[in-house]
Amino acid sequence: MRETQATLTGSCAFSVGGVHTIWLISAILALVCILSVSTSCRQAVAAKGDINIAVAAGPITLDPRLATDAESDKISSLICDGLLGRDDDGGLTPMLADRFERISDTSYRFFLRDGLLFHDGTPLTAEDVVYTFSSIMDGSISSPFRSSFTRVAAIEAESPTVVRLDLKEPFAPFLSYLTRGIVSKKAALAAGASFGTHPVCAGPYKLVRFSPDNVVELEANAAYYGEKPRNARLLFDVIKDDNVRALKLIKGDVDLVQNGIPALIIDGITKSGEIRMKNGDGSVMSYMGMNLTDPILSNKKVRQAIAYAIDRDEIISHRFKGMASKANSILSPANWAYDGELPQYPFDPAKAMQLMDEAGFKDPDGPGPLPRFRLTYKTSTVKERVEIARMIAHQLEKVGISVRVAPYEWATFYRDVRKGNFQIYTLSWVGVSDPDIFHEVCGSSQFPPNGLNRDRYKNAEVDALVEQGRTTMDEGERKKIYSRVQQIVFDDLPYVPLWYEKNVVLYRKGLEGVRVRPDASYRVFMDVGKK
Amino acid sequence: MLRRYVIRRIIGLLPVMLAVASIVFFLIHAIPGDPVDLILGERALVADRAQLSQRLHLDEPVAVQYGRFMAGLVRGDLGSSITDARPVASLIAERYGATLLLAVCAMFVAVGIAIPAGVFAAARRGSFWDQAAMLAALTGISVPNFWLGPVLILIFSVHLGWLPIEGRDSISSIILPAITLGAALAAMLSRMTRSSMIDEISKDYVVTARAKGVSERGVIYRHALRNALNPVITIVGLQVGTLLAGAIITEKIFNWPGVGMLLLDSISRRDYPVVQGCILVISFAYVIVNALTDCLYRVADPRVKL
Amino acid sequence: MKAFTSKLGFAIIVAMVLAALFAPYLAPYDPSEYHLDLSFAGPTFAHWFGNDADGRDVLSRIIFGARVSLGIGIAVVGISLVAGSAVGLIAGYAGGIVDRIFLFVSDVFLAFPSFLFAIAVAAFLEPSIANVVLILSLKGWVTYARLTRGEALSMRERDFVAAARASGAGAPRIVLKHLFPNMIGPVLVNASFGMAGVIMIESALSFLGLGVPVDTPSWGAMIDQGTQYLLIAPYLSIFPGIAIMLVVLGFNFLGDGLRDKLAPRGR
Repeated sequence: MRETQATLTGSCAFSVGGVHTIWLISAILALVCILSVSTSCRQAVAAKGDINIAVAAGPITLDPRLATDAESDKISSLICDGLLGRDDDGGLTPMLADRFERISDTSYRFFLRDGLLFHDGTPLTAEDVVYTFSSIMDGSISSPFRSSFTRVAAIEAESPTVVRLDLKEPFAPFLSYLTRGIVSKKAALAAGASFGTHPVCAGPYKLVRFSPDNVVELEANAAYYGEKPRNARLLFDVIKDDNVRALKLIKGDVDLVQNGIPALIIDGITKSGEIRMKNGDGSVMSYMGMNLTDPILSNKKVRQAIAYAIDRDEIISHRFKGMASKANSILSPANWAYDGELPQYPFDPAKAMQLMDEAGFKDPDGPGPLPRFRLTYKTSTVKERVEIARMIAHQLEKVGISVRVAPYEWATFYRDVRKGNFQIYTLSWVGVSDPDIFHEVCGSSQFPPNGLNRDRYKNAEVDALVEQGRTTMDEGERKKIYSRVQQIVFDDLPYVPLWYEKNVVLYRKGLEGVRVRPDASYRVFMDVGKK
Repeated sequence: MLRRYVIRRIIGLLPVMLAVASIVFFLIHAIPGDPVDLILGERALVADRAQLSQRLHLDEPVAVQYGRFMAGLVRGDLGSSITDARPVASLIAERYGATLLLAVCAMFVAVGIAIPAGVFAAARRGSFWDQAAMLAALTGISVPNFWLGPVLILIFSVHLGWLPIEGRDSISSIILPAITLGAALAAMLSRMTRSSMIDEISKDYVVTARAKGVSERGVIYRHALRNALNPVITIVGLQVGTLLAGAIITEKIFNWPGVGMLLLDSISRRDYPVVQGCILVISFAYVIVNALTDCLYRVADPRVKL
Repeated sequence: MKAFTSKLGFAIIVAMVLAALFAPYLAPYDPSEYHLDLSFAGPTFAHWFGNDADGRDVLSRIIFGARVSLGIGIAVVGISLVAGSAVGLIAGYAGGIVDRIFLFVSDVFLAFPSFLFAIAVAAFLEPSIANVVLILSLKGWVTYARLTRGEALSMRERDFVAAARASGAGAPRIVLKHLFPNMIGPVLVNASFGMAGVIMIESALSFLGLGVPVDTPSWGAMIDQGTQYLLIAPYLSIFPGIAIMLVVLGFNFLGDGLRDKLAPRGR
């Protein structure tokens, strides 16, 4: 009894302390919370000239010489102007260079505008242009674009405003590489690797703040040589969650979202009338790649059967709510080299089954459970992509092909596609402008890791044509060459062209000057303003 | 006695951290995917790939890379990011505070709700309030945070306009993320507290105390709660890991610039040094908290031999 | 009251298990059949819980989902509870070097973020139910082990254990007859929440793209898919959420009842 009492007393004394300690700790924690929030507090600026744009991913680097991912590339294009630019239809236009002359098939001379200034107020001269391309070419910054410039024999500054470029051989697509942003030599050399977060260029905006995965703030460049942006500031707010992105737009924290709201929920968002929507044809082409070294898929009839068996209209109307159009070429209809005569593979399951019968893949039990053959369909884990893959798989099941959809984490998926470790997969080609893309995607010398021929396609005629297309300077001639390429590839079908997704922009109703470009470039944001 | 235990426990952490570091290293290097491919894209020259991979020491045998990593770790050097060449330590330092803040506030939300609710429910066992509290707990644990986050935003930010949706703009911006992250833990802890309290209340010493005329409040708050908190403390310690893992999803939803977001991105970029660094600091926080709860355990229950 | 709730809990669990077993007979529709014209059609008499984005019947998917979710839950909790309790009891009772080795191993397991392991597994292998069970069990056992170890540690010094030891009982007997029954309460409470936790983590894995195979209806994956359409069709994520809640409720009530039966000190 005595012992119990002792324990109790001890326990009492301690427990009083214990309970109090808990509340004390709680109070301290609360204080810590409050203090640390208030110290990290920043004033939210929401001036009238600010446009808030939600993006799903943050840029990795804003150095135009290194930007490979879409966000890095698009945002850096607002900060850094190139010698040449692109207009809304994808055509090349003057930018830092107001004109150029073609001295010969292999030599160009570019004339810079007068009085160009970098964001830091220093003048932009031919020296900076030479530096920008040299640093890409000499490997000193490990630029992923080095391969584009391997044909350059020499680049020199003939005067502070004249740059001369000599190629080793005639190369028609070359001009399209000169849209890459020009950087300040002095600033780039001084900043080294940190130039990606502190770029100094001569574009319409300058960088104010860049916290990766969080926010990128740009401010209109008052000294810009061209037409000045209509807004004072662009804030790119990185919001990874689809719902939160939509909610911020609804609440008004965000003014505009481009291609960041799933098509299926757009109706629900625009219903209230607060949010407007604009869309336009896009140049991003989605396709189903097929491994041509696979014993089943090496058969052209099987590949065509797959094309006939996919009901793209159903997917476009259901999954995209009409915000896509059927594709038949890597090039989009807006591209100058697109062949308007190309047909489509219509949805025709009977034809698909007939083709597979002819190819020797008869259905062992008709409509029964046994398939003609089995395929593994790899995709990334992006939810919309997986759902589309599931629909395609269902459609293929109906003609007797058993399909297992296998979503893989992006880096793994990408590596498998590059290594040829797949049967079928779906992906997109983004940023296609010059038809030379056929050399990279369909040339037999371009199997990864050398190029982009992911499906291991090999056709001697195509090889010859794409080689010819690179060295032919006349656009009319090139168009004929690439029409032929498109027809052959359409028939051989190393990949099934699926659709071109439309670019969709959702914005608050107070915004003016909103438009979309086929390449989904962010340059259009220059013209957005608030009423 | 206690001090010696604490010191021993902390020394015991070193091998744990080394083991974690080794597992992380081999796991991340074993999973497919090539950082060089991801940095340079598909158009890069084969020679450039080789050069970059050499510069990043990725062409060396894994054992050599492991030795390099461990040697750096011993010197306190976590290496540099493959993606943007910045030191891993400073990348993490920038974000560690945010994650810690989120986790601490979530823990505060959880403990602040759970212990009073659990004690209250236990004291009025079987009452309407007991059942309501436990139903709320069940709801809390059946709701994933990637669902709860958007729903809270929808209600409190969009419809009511009380709280900001995201960001670090103001003091109120941590409320929704902290609730989102802490809700499941609050639910679990309140259940645990209640159950533990009920066990304690019916024990002999409490009965004795009651019999001796100690007031009902005194019985509950002074006697039973202290002992009842033992298993709760264990769970809190164990749940720190879950909390930090949950922080990754919460950070993603609320755009909270913490280590979790950095880790997710680094995994998808196969930025080995950053992944290793992030996992190490997350593990470190976890291990420290658990060592602390272990000590607390001993403080709270003197019968446990040190 | 107590008896009623534990019976209710038992009834809920039995009903769920029966639904899982007889899913093909109970489900009104094929759970993976598309009806695009019914896309996002809300609850009706024909489709009680409405239809999802592709017009699949939500009720049928929930019924079939019981197989996957309960299966994963029971497998993971079962594996974790048995393995974890065994390890924890041994470590806690034996103490000394055994306990220290246990602490080390469990610290490593706990300190290592499980989702990195999940991502690593998912990068090697396609999504599969076996992988989900593997990932969750690898981490799951530690909680039970630590819990039982902590209890064993605090209990082995107590009078009743000392008395048992004095009366000549061997270690296995003490552990099984005296220690384990006394900690069954916390363990069961933990297990009943563990069921919910497992189903939740499975949904988090789906959210991160690492869950069950495509087209497999599991409650976690359904919440994840439904969350995509939270703004236009909230019921898609709420109904599977309610299913999870019922299971949690069931296991909790059952757990309470079991504890009162099994744990003598509760009287």
